[in-house]
Amino acid sequence: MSGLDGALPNPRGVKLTYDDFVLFPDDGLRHELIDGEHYVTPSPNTKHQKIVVTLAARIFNWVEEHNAGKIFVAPFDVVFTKFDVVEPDVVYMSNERAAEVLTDANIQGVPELVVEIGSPSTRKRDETVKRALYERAGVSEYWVIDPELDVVRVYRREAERFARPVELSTEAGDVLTTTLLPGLALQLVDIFRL
Amino acid sequence: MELMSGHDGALPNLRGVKLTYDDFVLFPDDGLRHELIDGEHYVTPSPTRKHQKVLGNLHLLVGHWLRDHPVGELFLAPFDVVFTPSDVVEPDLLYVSRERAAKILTDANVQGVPELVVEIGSPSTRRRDETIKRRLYERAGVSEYWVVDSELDVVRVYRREAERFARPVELSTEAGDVLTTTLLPGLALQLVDIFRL
Repeated sequence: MSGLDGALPNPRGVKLTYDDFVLFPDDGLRHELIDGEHYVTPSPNTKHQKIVVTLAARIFNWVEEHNAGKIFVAPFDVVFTKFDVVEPDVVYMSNERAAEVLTDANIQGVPELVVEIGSPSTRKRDETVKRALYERAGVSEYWVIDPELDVVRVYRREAERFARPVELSTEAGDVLTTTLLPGLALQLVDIFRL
Repeated sequence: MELMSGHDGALPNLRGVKLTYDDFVLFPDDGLRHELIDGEHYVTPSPTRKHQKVLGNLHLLVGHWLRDHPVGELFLAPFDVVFTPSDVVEPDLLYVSRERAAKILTDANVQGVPELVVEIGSPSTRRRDETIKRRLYERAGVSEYWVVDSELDVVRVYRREAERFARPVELSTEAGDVLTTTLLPGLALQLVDIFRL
């Protein structure tokens, strides 16, 4: 069954688990499980992939320089629960967290930072179902990158919830920084450069 | 004459000839929304059910308030707003105070700058609403611009600060937000009411 992007849980009954997930076809599409529902995402476009590479490169350089943490790009399974298995575009975790959650096959737990690069077809899901998942799972920061408007929306944890997102834009000349990666300064114009 | 279609990119079109309101009035009466921004011709397909529902809700809520507080006039698309000869748009909803209405309202259109402009977004117009139209309303002198996102049930409010719009304030149904504005003092729009189907 395919997940709905509405805000309400699907009442249809049977929840899929990671046991079902590993049997999904290896068809090049992104398959995910959120609260036991199956979500499929088409292959990304050029701008999406360019942003992934730039962002991963900037964070990777920081990680190498500081010998602090691990960064991964999709497809790489993050198993939050047996009903919640997603493949974020980029994830980062500290060395301490990696020691607890990183396995040879996947991430069995909660990375500190999750990044999704949006598209018209995933925008609603990224801002509703996935945001709610990352919020309840305990992710520290969730960046939603909007390649249509060249903005980044940053959700930061405040106790049990995410605070209202901070929106950064290329047009305003904004720079993205985070306490998770101290010293790193990501110019938005650099992230969205084609 | 061959009509050119506008682009949603951030840069102005360099191809030369700008259309004007004289050309605009000759566009076909085909039920689509035709607009002119910086002389470029933009066409928008017919709106969806949710778009129309949200627009209806807003018109009713603000219109009802205006009946009790007759401080200005509210108009629904299609109604031409002629900012300049090469900037003619049909916002989904617009508000003009009584004082300003006396100066800019004609039988045919608005010949000037309404205080409040509202666009109900859709996936196909989102970029245009947030870039080209936002810049038009910013340079034209609109006081407030509400971008209503009927996909996420949020409203982004751009408010003028001197020559520019400040960063938008984002209100959401999920957070239980209420939209108020100094243009219509005393009006309180619950987002849940705006997006009610």
